[in-house]
Amino acid sequence: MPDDPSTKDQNDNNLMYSAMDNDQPPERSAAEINLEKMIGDRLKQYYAARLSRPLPDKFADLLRDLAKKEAE
Amino acid sequence: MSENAGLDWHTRLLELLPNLRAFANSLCRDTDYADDLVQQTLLKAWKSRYSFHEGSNLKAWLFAILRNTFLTELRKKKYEAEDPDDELQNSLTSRGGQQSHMDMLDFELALSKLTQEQREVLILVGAEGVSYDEAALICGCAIGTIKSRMNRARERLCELMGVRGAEDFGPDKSDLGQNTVAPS
Repeated sequence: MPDDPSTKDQNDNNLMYSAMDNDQPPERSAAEINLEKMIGDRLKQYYAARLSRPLPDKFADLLRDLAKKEAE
Repeated sequence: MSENAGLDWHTRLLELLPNLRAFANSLCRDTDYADDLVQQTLLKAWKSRYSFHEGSNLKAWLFAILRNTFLTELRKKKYEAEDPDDELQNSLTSRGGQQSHMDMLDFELALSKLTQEQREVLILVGAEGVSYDEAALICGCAIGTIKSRMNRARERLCELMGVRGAEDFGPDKSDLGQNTVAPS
């Protein structure tokens, strides 16, 4: 059945608000966004310190041995 | 797999080693044990390399192997760097009432008090930069679960730190004025 033009806009509005009520995450405040950013920054610093640790040779040796065995 | 697959595989694993090691370290918080986990992961990955689908996400695949290895051992040995005397907890909560300053040590302590699931999701999404999809793949759960773990982890972290807003962060906060959103 085609949409009744007189009620279509109202229906669209209702659908939109209904979608906003049900699907949209609540709007976050600037304070929440800033806090998330700060936590993100700390996490990255924490992880970067671990990423930059020098790798011991044993891993490369292990992989080389495995590749060598594979080739034989 | 081509004749050069062994060589390619070798190179690709080598490239991901720092990430694997950092993830292992963040999971178990013990350098020696983290190295054991990485070693086991490399062996398992090498052994199972023919079951890896070329074109799929190698990092996610390796991280999943590492995580599963860690969890299996955790269950077997009941290994966990617990805080038997609750020293960490006390040191954190004693500062909770103040406008606490968030320095890296505090942050690490708070991170260590999170559950393993909360910690891993923070590290994967927040630090390693994997997508929610990839994190769900690595952790073997739904994307919605990852998102809710992420939210809970952030909340818990703030709770442990006694932090209520970005202004509670310590002196080594990064460019607060430049990179943050102005309050409305």
